Amino acid sequence: MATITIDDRQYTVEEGRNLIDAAADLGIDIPHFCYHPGLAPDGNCRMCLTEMEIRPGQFGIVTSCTIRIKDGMNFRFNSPAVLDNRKGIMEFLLINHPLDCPWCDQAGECKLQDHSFDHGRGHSRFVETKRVPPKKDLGPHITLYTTRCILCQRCTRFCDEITGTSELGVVQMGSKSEIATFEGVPLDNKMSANVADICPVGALVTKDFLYKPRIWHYEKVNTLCPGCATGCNTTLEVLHQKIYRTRPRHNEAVNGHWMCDEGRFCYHDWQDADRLQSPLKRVDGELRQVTWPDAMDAAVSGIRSVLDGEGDSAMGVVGSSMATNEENYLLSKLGKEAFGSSTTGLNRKPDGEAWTSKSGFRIAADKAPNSRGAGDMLGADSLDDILRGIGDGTIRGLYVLGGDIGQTLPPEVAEAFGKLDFLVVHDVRLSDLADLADVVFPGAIPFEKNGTMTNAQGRVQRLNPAFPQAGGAREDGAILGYVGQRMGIEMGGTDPAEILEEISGRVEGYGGLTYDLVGDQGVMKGGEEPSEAAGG
Amino acid sequence: MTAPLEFTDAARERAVEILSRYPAEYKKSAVVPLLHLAQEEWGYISPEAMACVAGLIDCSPVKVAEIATFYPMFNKEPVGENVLAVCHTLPCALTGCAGIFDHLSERLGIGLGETTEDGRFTLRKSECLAACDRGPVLLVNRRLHTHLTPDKVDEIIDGLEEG
Ligand code: SF4
Ligand code: SF4
Ligand code: FES
Ligand code: FES
Repeated sequence: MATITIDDRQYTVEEGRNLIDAAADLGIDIPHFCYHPGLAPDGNCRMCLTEMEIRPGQFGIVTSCTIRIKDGMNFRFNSPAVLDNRKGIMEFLLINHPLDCPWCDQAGECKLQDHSFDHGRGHSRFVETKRVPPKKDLGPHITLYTTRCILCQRCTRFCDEITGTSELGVVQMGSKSEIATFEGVPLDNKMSANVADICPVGALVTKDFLYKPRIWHYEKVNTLCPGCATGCNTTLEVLHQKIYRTRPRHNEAVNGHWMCDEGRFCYHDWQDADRLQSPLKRVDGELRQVTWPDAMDAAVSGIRSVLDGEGDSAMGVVGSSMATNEENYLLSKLGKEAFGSSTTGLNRKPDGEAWTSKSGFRIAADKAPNSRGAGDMLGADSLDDILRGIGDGTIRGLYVLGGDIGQTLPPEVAEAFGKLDFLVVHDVRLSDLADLADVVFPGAIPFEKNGTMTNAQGRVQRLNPAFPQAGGAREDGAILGYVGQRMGIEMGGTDPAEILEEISGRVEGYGGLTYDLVGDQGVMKGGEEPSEAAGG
Repeated sequence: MTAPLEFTDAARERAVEILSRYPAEYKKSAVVPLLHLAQEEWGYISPEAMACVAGLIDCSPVKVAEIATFYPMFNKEPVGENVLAVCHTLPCALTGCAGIFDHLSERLGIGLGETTEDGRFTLRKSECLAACDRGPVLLVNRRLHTHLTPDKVDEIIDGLEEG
């Protein structure tokens, strides 16, 4: 710890911390453009100038972003020299700026707007003609509104330091300087869209969020990306029950400040999926839409006839890595208590490509968000036991959580499931899994779920719903609770916070976990420390 | 991706020599001398030439483009045999560089950035050439001429036309 002085007041802050971050911790905002806590300081924009005592009694102007806290440092954040410098910098930055805020997508979350309001001079003395360089298509996801760029180089440094792909540079000289790609080498990497988040102005925008409703209309929902087992923390921007944008939410232990492009844009696939509108029941060999009570009756009587005919262990349960810990827990409880010593399984997705950025940001090979948690709840991490049971005829019926829009059943699994006497499925669309079922309950997609998931590192994190379940769907936990009740067992509450409490008493590694403890940054299960942060 | 040009064997040898002046982990430092070499080879720095240099110093081609486009002495387009650059920064402007430029433009029949039809002259403006006390100044290829008057300019051009 270090004691420093800011404008004649003393503060205790962390030694070695960047001055801008240290001030932010104290609730003091040092205006800045080029500094970003996820990137190395560059000191190029000069907006963060403050005064520091460089010799006893003598102050000099320094860039805050390049200062690391040492004991005894003495700063003036609001001296006339500091304020004057800021004003000057703002005036320079706005010389060629088009002031097109009314139709700029950054309006409302723009540092240039904010600092201009706080430190600008209100009128321009620039009478010459502004440069109007055309906008540029930088790559599959990103457009550069060249006129709005203030050349802070956060974007180029992101591509140099984080992805290591270096597609962006500053070409030309002086007032003609521009961000550019090289001919034939577009900004196209697995994390490219992060540059739009870190661009402090409206210069870099994602094509996905161009000319969308103004940013202040959205409700912000903190949740997790369902795209892979990394479990990046995200904030969704939601309006009229529709997601318009996903952005990474800072979590140093998981994703740092970043997320991958695939995860960022995957909400489209989920939100646009052709969802089941009502429960389905097999009648005369065909799936037909039925009411909830009808489907519930069919499920319960089908399960009963398997159990009555073949004995307790003849019904198995298969969890889902798309479902929350709480849902998988309820399923396993249903299996144990209503079906009696049932065999459990988990329908894993075949692995995709794993990738690690230059800075250490990881995209997991497991393209499901909760394989680890589902495995913990079910005590199974594959379908091996289930397939064996079906093979030797001991398993005659299954209760399966589906819910993955991207998954197809491997042929051997489809074949095995086809042999069952009775199959109940939760799914979100008419999948090849639903196709084999006798009863299908329409469940929720991850963006509609409330609960926890456990990422590949073993970090338990919270999922929050962006909107209620679409159409005729219900919460999977509520469906499971009702089935349990109809089977005559005490399922307890179906509120995820209550279920997590129950889990904490019963599942190894989850002891002591509560919803509050998990909070919005998650906690490692079993108090394990992360082997290595994935954030980079 | 822009296909890189290939140096001739002789130029390649010089490139190796240039690279040997810098520690291996700092070979990016060789970018400017390598760009000069490329300009000598091909007359101007095309994207393909930038890609060639990027390959030699193991960096992304846009990083070479940053340097090549920053320095006006690197030609980004084909130029004539002689490149004439009139300094137009403030001190030279005060000494009347505009008249020198106009005189050249009239005599050669070309405007800013243009090349004469016979391919002998390209006319340019340049930023300060660090001879502010001797303006107006003109850079002819790599040679600086100072204290210019229209007559002096004519002499220079005559000399070049004869040469
Ligand atoms: S595009 Fe944005 S991030 Fe990149 S240099 Fe310009 S202002 Fe900075
Ligand atoms: S790394 Fe995984 S969790 Fe993170 S954004 Fe990409 S797909 Fe989503
Ligand atoms: S934030 Fe310090 S110079 Fe830009
Ligand atoms: S201004 Fe022309 S040489 Fe400096």
